[in-house]
Formats: sequence, structure tokens, C-alpha cells
Amino acid sequence: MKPLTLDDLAALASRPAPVTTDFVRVQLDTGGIAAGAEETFAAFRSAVAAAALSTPVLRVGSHGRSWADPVVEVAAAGLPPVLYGGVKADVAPQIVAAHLQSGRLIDDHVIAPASGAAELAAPVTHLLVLDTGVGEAKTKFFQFSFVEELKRRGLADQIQVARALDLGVYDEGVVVTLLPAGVTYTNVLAPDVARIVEQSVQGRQVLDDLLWKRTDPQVRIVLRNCGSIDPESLPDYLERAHGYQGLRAALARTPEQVIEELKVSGLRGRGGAGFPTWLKWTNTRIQKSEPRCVICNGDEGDPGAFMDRSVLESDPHSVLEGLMIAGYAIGAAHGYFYIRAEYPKAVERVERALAQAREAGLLGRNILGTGFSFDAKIRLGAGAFVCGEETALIASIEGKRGSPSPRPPYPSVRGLWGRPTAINNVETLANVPAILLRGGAWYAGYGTETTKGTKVFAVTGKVKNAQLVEVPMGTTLRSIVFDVCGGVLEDKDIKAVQTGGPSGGVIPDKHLDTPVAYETLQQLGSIMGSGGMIVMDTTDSMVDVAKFFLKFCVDESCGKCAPCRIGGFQMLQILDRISRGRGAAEDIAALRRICQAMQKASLCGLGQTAPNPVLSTLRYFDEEYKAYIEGGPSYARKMARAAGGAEPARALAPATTEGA
Amino acid sequence: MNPSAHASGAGADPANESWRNDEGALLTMLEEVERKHGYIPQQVGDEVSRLLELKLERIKRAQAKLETGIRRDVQRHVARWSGEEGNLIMILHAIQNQYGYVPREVAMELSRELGVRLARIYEVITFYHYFKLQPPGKHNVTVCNGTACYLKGAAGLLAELRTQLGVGEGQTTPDREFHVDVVRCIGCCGMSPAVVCDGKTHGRVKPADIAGFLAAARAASPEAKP
Amino acid sequence: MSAVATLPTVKATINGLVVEVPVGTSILDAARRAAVKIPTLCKHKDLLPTAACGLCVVRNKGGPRLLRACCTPLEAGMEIATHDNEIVEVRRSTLELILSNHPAECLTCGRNGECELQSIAADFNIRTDGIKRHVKEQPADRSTGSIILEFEKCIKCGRCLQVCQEMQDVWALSFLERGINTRMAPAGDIALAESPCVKCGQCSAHCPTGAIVENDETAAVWAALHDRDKVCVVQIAPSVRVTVGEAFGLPPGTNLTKKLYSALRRLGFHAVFDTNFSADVTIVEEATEFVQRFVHQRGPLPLITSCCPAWTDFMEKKHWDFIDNFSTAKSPQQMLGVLAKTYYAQQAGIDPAKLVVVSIMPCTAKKYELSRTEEMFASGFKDVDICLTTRELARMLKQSGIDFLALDDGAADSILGEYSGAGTIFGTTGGVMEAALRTAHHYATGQKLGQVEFAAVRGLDGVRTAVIDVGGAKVRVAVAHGLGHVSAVLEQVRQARREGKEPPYHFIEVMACPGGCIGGGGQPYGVDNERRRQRIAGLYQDDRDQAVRCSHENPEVVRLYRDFLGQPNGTKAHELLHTRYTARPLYKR
Repeated sequence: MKPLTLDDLAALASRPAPVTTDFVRVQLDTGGIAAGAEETFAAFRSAVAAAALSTPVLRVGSHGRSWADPVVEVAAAGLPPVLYGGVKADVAPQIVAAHLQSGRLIDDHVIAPASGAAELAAPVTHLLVLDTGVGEAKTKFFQFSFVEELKRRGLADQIQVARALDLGVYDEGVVVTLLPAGVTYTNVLAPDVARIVEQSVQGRQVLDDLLWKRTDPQVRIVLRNCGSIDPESLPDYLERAHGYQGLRAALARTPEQVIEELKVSGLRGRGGAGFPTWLKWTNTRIQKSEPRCVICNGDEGDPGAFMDRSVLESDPHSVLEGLMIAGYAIGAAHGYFYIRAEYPKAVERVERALAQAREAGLLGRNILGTGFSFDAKIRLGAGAFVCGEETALIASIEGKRGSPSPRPPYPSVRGLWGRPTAINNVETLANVPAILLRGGAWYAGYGTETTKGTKVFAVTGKVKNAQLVEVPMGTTLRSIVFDVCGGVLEDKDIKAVQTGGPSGGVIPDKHLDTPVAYETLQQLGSIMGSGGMIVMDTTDSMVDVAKFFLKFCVDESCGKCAPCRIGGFQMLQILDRISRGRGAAEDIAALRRICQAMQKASLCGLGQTAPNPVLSTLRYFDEEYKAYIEGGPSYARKMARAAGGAEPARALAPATTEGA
Repeated sequence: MNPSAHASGAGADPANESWRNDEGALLTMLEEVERKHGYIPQQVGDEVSRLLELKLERIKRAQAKLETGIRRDVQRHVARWSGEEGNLIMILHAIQNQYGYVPREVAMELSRELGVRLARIYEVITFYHYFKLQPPGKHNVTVCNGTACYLKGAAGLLAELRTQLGVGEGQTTPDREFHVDVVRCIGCCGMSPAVVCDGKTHGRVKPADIAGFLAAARAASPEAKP
Repeated sequence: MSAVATLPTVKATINGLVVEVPVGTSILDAARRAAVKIPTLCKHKDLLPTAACGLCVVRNKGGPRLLRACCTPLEAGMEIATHDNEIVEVRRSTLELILSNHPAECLTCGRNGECELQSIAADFNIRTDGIKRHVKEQPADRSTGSIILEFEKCIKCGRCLQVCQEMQDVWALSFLERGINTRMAPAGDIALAESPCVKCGQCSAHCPTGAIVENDETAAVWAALHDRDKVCVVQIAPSVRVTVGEAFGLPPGTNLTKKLYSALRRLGFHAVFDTNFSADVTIVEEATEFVQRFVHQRGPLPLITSCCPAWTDFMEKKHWDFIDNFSTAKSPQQMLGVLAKTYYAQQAGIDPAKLVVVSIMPCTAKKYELSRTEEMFASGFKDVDICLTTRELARMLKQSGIDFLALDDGAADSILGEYSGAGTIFGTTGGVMEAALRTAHHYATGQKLGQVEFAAVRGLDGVRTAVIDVGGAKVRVAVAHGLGHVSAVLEQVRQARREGKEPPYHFIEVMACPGGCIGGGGQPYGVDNERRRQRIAGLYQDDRDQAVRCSHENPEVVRLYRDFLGQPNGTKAHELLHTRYTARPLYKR
């Protein structure tokens, strides 16, 4: 690729994205690959070749619907693009034969989120049916009923009825979606079948009493390109995703103006602490010493969080673009991606993005002739959660043990190799190009008073659709879990949602209507963290959950300071005793005392927040602790059996430590 | 004359020539001969020392080859990262990828080449769980224990691995065929619980699937990348 | 204009008291000025804060978190509280956590009664094991015979690491693993004796607990003293006389030479000698060597002093390209040993096989020196049998029931007891250089020195250089102490070598420990620069108190050469008083 010029970029900006109506896009991120997407990709290629079709089979990143992996998007003339989930290799030839060759959808794989459409402008071509209710599924019965009704009216040849995999509506009885418009009816009963066919399919009238009017609360800013572009193609990013237009917008202004735009946007660090991004940049920029550095923190360590991996794998250029804008704003010519070594695919794609950007003249000296010089490198983590902490991350890049150091001095004053350094999380940086392109005010239009914009959550655990969700700040936890992710697995009752990873806390059912924002979560004893959201049902033991998170922190403590090193370990011993039914009443007081010492006297955030899971479970579920203590070993065994886990009652093997 | 013939004539185990390859057996043979004769006959002694010298020679050659090999590898890695600040961890990654662990000799050589104290290198290696000081198994099975996987039964998978292989977290089977490890999260929470077997990630794993993975790994090439 | 540039200061309050301190002063230090003591187990005055123990937490009014006083600079307008209820509570919990990870073995610990952890626990009135004790079992490392690493007692404060890596540039100790498994360990996780350790013992002098202690050999000395077949003699090193008092509550620098003579005699030693005597012999040999090289160009320059065994070990492992520059003269300890078993044994008519020579040294490396090479057996026996550190001696004295401070003055025994002022200053950085210059001046010029004190080589700067006039010739000298300061000096010499230039120095003195032997790894605990200065002052006073200030004028030394050795650097002197050096691998494994 020959080096780009500012004019080239300007031309790209005014050129509309090419519309393609014929493609197969296979979502190839680590999650998809784990589910067999590579095989699916190969199967599509050979099936398309065997059918002598010219349909391009393309690689894209992930939409975030991990539960449905492998996910494939298929477009053929005459139909809107359709998402298929659970497309193992053996499904690929079926899709080629049905969808590409005869315009028919295949059963049980289509994902068609309710669009909120309320008009039937074009003739209906397909009906999607899914029973979202509890109990015996009646999907097949309704499919049969619709087909029969269509047959009766002689329409069966023109209109297909397919069973869907997911229609973005949950617990609303039988749901029917009419394509291509996307009009969705819920709680459809048998008598409605004829009505729908007659009035809506034939008469193109919308039935208001059945119409699903709610729209998906999701807003995709960070994930704007994920799943729709090829993460390994710079042209795709440039032509189809307004690639590097945010950078162009930034370079047209002064660094101060760029920072001002960020200030207007209200963007706060998405790594957890929520420090205003503009302020961090300003604090770095005002340092007199040079050179300065900017680091992308891709050491996503919270267990159960994978938004950073997904963004790096699915849209690496937008993170790089954000990093470059940050570099321009703070006056840094050097950037680093610090990425977990456990994310080889992300590393590979960022590596490729860097090479492409360098080749296109987007990295290097005098970028686009603007006088701005910038380049970036990758540094790998090596399996240490604490390296997500800024000073530990810096130590790690410097080739040392990832032990945090006292702040002040803050990295903005003395960071990497003593240079003023701004460290931003992947998600934060992915927001930046969009803000520069569409304006801070646009971004600030989403969210709440204190917490602007959107946030990506990785919703996992006992949830139906474990996936990435991007919603405006202020959306309630309940809406995220139930409206977007389909509710609790096996329709059990929800007990709590854990947010913020090992530094976070549990939020019980009664508080799930809280709008998500940094402050509100804090008031509930949890934190936003990087956006992990773990759904727990009534069979999950909160003592066990606290122990799980605490064990994580104990394993990941750097060991430098006594309160964290010993405090976490000793709390774990106590929790272990309790969870085996061998705790004593005074153990609770001891836990609280150690929690206080850790919170107040630990050197870094890891130690200061490690007690949160314990404190928040004590706050909302102290009766569970009491039950373990009073119920003794037999109760503990009963709980373990109920959870179906593999004997959590076994002693916590302090293999490394002598149990006194 | 063949000392084993001599030994057999002297009443030691005639057929068993395992002492030619096994030092323990060699000592037993010599003791046996000495017990029978009251001394070790010249010929036996000569043959044994000839064998030992040969062995020593071979060991030395192998060692020298290893050392040059190590030096060349380390120099290559250092050259790739020379001039880069804070390159130690990236070089250790390269070494870890090459050998599957960081052998002591390599760490020593790296210390010399890079001018970084061995103390610092070990501080770093032992801090980061990604780096290992022990050779890995031929096949590596890694169970993800992120929250999602934990809630959905990672412990059951580990228990199954223990049943199948007899080893648990961080351990290698005695025949060095399998190494079992636990990682904190591989970011496949949507597919939980997840297991990585020889670099391939499997999602929604049930304990019953484990036997199949192990069999497939065994059947795969013995050169399986660690 | 004022000659003193005033540093910018900050004003703040600590517990309501207004303090004004230079910018950058830590809250911990600022509080000291306001007579407020904030407890800490990891911060040592010699060292940078490691922020490890978490005891020094304080509160700044309105701040969200507690701050660590050790590493947070006082800022203008801060309102610091150091001892409110919550802070004390947090400190107590943290202390209990530390104790829960530490064996309860105070009664049998090498630091019993002198342990910083023990004393803070006492201050906090800890009366129960509030948190169940978990200590990982880990066998101690006794491989060196000088220093014992009792890993279980380590509280991971990081002092020893900073001492070993930064201050001493030895890099024998490191932290391995992480979290609760974090452990202090020899580099590369091998035995300490296989590591680059030079046995200087600075780690033990800085350790707040009993995790690093000297190898106590007092039992062997008691056994020898009680053995009727043995004749025990003892020598005391220069610096010991001004430090041993600290173990008995006297101020640092108090000179107790004569009380030591009495006490050692009471312990049952047949003869009490003074290493200051053999320091004079060392000077005679070394100054002769220097004059040979400097005046007669026989041998390479610079000449480098070799009486510090930690330094020789360090050189043999890391700077062996300087082997030929090393003075081959043995250290005073070894010289006294070999002379006791030859010269003294002959004169006193004692079978040297029955002689047991005990040395009282400031140093753990001296224990290692006893069997450093075969030349340490020049008498045909082990020249010095047992080496005790000052700390071990103090414990012996306390055990023996001797009321040390109430003793009358005693005298050393002839013929290895008399010393000059030059001998006594061997115990301080710059002292060997100064002593050697006094005698070299005489050897080179034949004249008596008027002003014997060389102020230019005194002080506590890490490296001091000077040009000394020796009978018109300009002698360029350098003095370094603390092994961390050595490399820079040697690098200058190497640079000159590479460029084929004159060496930048003719004579270099190196002592491994900061301050020299008065700051040795076997000295009473609690060393810092203030204490080092006081100890050094004690030695310089002792020097001034001596009628004889130059080694070659020591009458017993004169007699030694006349009656026994012959010429300095002569055949017999070489046989008994000199040694060799060999390059050694940094790692034995």
C-alpha cells in the first residue's frame, strides 16, 4: 500500500462506504475460533467453490455474541444480511445451499434482534418464529401453524417460515419477526396466526396489539466496527469504517483543542477507576520533561472480562488510532501496546495493524505531512494480573518484576523510564476516534450526569446469552441481564450480579434496577471495573464466590507489601474454613479487621480493593456466612452438592503453606 | 576378551548386559565380580573404563554442542531486541516459546549476553507465571479458571484431568506426556468452561470430553508444540 | 550574599504541630523533626523506602486513603495525623498480619532482644496471636559458614536486597516468586555459597529480624577455652574497640580497648593480642610493596589494598583483571594468626598444635577468610581457628557474668600486642590508605613525617580521591567504600589501560562496607551514617592518643622483623605474610 496523504484521507471521508449485498462474514476471534470458526470458514470456502458461486467468504471480528459462536453473517441479494449462530462446519454447506442459492433461511440458527420497526414497507419474505416462554417450547408447532396458514392462502411458496435461534426478545411467549422489515410480534397465540398472515403478511398492516415496540438498549460506539470489518485489513477500516478520520480531525486541531473535545465528551477511563481522560492527558502534557510516552493498557486481567480482547481482535486499527490521537494530544512520539501474552490473536492482529499503518505512512515521521511523528510497539504481559496497575505495568515494560510503586509520583509526572506517561485502557482509546469524528457533545449525549457515553460489559456466568453488551451509561443492570442477555440460564432466579471483577462486589437482586454509573456502583459497594458482569443464580454460594475472587487476588498479589500479601492469604484461610463448615463466629470479625488493614494500608489498588468481594457479600449476604458457620460441615457439603460443583469443600490445599 | 563373558565365567549374570547403559547396574556388576573374585580383573576394569571414557567423550561433545547452540540462540534473541529498552521480558518470551521453559543454562547465558544479573532474571521469571523453569510436558492442557468458567464447572474439569492423568494444577505426568495448568482467564467467557489443549481452545467443555482431548493429543504428532 | 544556599522548604502540620522542612522531605523524616515517631519495619536510614511493611501509614486531612509516610514527601499545607484511632488500629492489624506469617521463635532466635519486629510488637502490646499463624516451612541456608539465611523469619521488607544489589553491587540476594510465596533467596535459587555472595554481611546488619544472622561460633570458642589441652589466644580488630560498647548501652565511638583486654583475659584467654599490631605489620609489607612498585617500577600500578576479604572475594569473582594490582600482603587477622602460631609459639615455648587463635572481628567475611586459600595455613596449622563478630563477643561477655563496663583497664600481651595510631585507623574507610602513606612516605624519603594526618582521604563520601605529595612525587590515590562504589573507580583504570595511558591512580583502598570496618556486617545493630561518623571519630581519637603514629615505628614490629622475619617483603615474610589470588566463577552452579 502506498503511503497515504491527507488528501487521500479527506477523499475517503466524503466517499460513501461501498454497499455489498453478497458476502459471507465469518467472525474469527478467539472465542469464535474456540467454537470452531476456523473450520466453519474453511467449510464455507469449499462449499461456495463447490457451488461455483462468486460470493466472497470474509473474515471479520466478533460482534460480541459469544454464546452463539461461531457466528456468521450472510448476505444475498433480496434479503437483508442475516446473522447465523452456532454455525459449526457442517452447517456451512446448508447455508450455502439454502441461503445463497435459493434465498431460504435455515432453521434454528438465525439471530435477528428486534429492531423496533413499526412499518411493513416491503413485502414480507420470511417469518421467523421462536418461543421465548418458559416451559415446553412451542416453536415447531407455531412454525407448522404458519406454514399451514400460508399454504391455505397459497403463499407457502413465496414466504418461508423459519425457526430462529434468537430474536432479541426474551420471556415474551411466542415471538414472530417479519422480514425484511423486522417487525416483531410477541406473545403470539394460536388464534393470532391467521390474523398475522392475513393482515400483516398479505395486508402489510402492523398489528399494534402484538407489536414489540421496545428497542434494543444497546448503542455501539466502542464496538462500532466489531464484527463488520476485517480486522486484518487496513483498506476495510479506511473505506468501510471511517478509519483514521478521527485522527485527521485531531491533526487539524491543536493538541489543546483535542483535549478540550475530550473534556466536552466527559469520557472517563474505562479500565476501572474512571479518571477523566482529558485530565490525565492534560497532566501528562503539562510536564516539561520530554520525551513523553503513551501506553495502551491491554492487560485485561479481570476473570470474566473479554471486551478488550474482543476489540483488539476485531478492530485493532481503531485502538491504534485512539493511541495516536492520545500521542498527539499529550505530545508523545512513542506509544506502547501492553497486551497479555494469553491473547495471542490480539497480539497478532495489533502487530499486523502496526505494520500496515507504518506502510501506509500513518505511523512514523511526519505523519501525513502534518509534522506529527509517532510510532508504537507491542510489549507482552507474562501472566501477572497486577500489571494492570499503572506503576506495575510500567515496571513490567521496563523489564522488571511487576510490583507497583508508591504514587505520587504519578505516571503522568514520572512514568515509563521516568518520562511523563499517559496510560489508557483499550476501551477508552477505542472511544477516542469516534469522539473526535462526531464531537464531544455527541458522545456526552449518552449516559448520565456524571458518567457519559457508553460502556461495554462482558456479561457471563449463569446468563442465557453470555456476550459483550454495549449500552449507554445509566442503563439498569436488570435491563442488561434480562432485556439484552435473555435472563438467567435455565430460568432460575437471579441472586446477584457481580461487577468489577476481583476488585468489585456483588449487587443483589433488590438493587438490580440501579442505573449503571461509576458512582452508583460504588455506593452499592462494588465498582464499574473494566466491565465484567457475572450473573449468579440462587444456587451459587456467596461465600464460595467471595472465596473465588479472593483466591484470585491472593494468587495475583505481587507480594511486595505486607497488608496485601499476608492479609489476602489469611482471609482466604478464614473463608476456606467457613466454606468447609468449620468457621467460628469470631471469624467474621477477624475478616472485617483484615479487610480494613488491607483497604487502608495496601500500597496499590489490588490490595486496597481485594477485600471488596468479601465486604460486599458480607453486606448483602451475611446470613449465608452465618449459615455456614452454624450449619457446620454437613451444611457445607449440602451447599456444594446443590451447586453441582466439584467438591469445593476440599481443603484449600495450602500446598505452599503449612497449615498450622 | 569380552568382560561380560568373563563376568559370566566368574558367575555374574551372563545375559544381563544392562550395565552397559545403566550406571547403577554397572556398579552392581562390579560389586558382584569383586565379591566372586575378591578383586576386579584387569580386563573387566579396562573394558569398563573404556566404556566410561567413551561415554564421557560423548557427554562432553553433546554438552559443547548444546552450549554453542544455546549461545547462538541467545545471541539471536538478544540481537533481535538489542537497543530496545526493557527488552528482558520480550527476550524471555522468545526463549520460553523456543524451549517451552527457561532452562538454567539459557538464563545464565542470557545474563552474560545481556549484561543483566542472574538475580534480576530469576526475579522476573519467577514473578510472571507465563515463564516456567521446568520443562513442560509434551502436551499441555490448560484449564481456564476465569469467573465464568469457574461458575460453570472448571473445577469438575480439573477433577476429571486428575482422574485421567493423576496430576493436578501445575503438575506434569511422570512420563512428561501431559502438563496440566490453570490460567486466570483466556477471555472466552462466552464459551465457558474452556480448555486449551496444545494451543487449541475448546469451549463448553464437559468432563466427559476430556478423555477425547487427551486421546487426540496422544494421537497427534509427538512433536506437538508446547 | 549568604554562602549557604537555602533550600526551598514546605510548611505543613503534623499532629497540629507546624513543621517546615526542605522540599522532598518524607513525612516520616519530617515527623522525626517534630519529635513524632512513626513506626516502620522496612525503611532504613541507609536505604530508599521500599514501602513494604505498611506500618507507617498516616492520614492527610481530607485525603481518601492513608499515605505511607516513608515514601510520601510532605507537601505544603498538608495536615498530617499520625496516630488517630483508625491509623493505630490499621497498624496493629497489619502488625498482627506480619506476626502471623513469622515463626514464634523469639526465645531461640539470633536476634532475641535486638529485633525490630519484636520491639514493635512489644510497643504495640501484642498479647495474643490474633490471627492464626501460617509459616511456610523452609530450611535455612547455612552454606557459607559466615551468614545464615533463616528464610522463615523473613518479613520481605526488601532491605537486604537493596543492600546486596544497590549498595554492594553483589546481587547475591533477590526476591523470587510472588504473593504469599514471595521469598528472599540467593540469586538463581541456589545455595548462598554458590552465589556471588561475598559474605560482607551488610544484609545481616540491615535485616530488621533474625532472617539473616551471622553464623554464631561462640560455642566453639567456649569449648576451646574449656579444653585443658588447648592454649587459647585472642586478637581484637581495630574497629571492635569503638563499637562493642554499643551492645552495652554506651554511645558509638566509645573506646573500650583496655576493658576488652581485661574482659578477654577474664574469659580465659591465655594471651590477648591486638590486631592493630598486625595491621602495623600489614602496613610495613604493603608500604614496601607500594614503594617497590611506585618508586622502583617493580609491579603494576595502581596498587590495591586487599585486607578486606569481602572485597578480595568480590574482585576474584567480578574484577579479576585486577589480580596483579592487588597487594599480596595478607590481612591483619591472618598475619596475627600465622605470627601467633610461629613467632609467638616459638618465643613462648608453646606447641603450635595446641594453640587456638580466636579473632574478634567486625565482619562476617572474616569467618570465610580463615580458610580462603592454602596460604591461610602458612603456619602449618589453621592460622586463625575461630572468628567471632563483635555481636558474638558481646553475647559471650554477657553470658560470662563479666560486668564488662565495671572492669579495670588491662593491657595487651607482648609480643603481638603493641600498636601504633596507624594500626588503629585500619578500622575506618581511608584508614589503610592513610596508614600506608605514613609509612610509604618514610620508606620513599627516609624522612619522618611531620603532619601524619591526611584529611583528604577521610570522610564518608563513597569515593574520595586525592593527590598526595610523597617527597616531591605526586601520588594519586582513591578510596572507595561500599562495594557499589568500586566499579566506577576500576572502570577509570580500565579506560586508561585500554587507551594505553598512565593509570589515573597509583594506590586504591577499598573496603566492602560503607564506612569501612566500623560499619562491618558483624557490628552491633542500628548502623547509619551518624553512627558511622561517631565510630570513626572514636578511632581517630585513638590514633591521636598514641605516642607512635606510624606502623614502622611500632617497637614490637621493629623487633618482629629484627628477631624473626628479616626484611619486609623478604623470603620469610613472603612465606608467612603474603597470599595469592585466583579468578573464581561468579556462580558455582
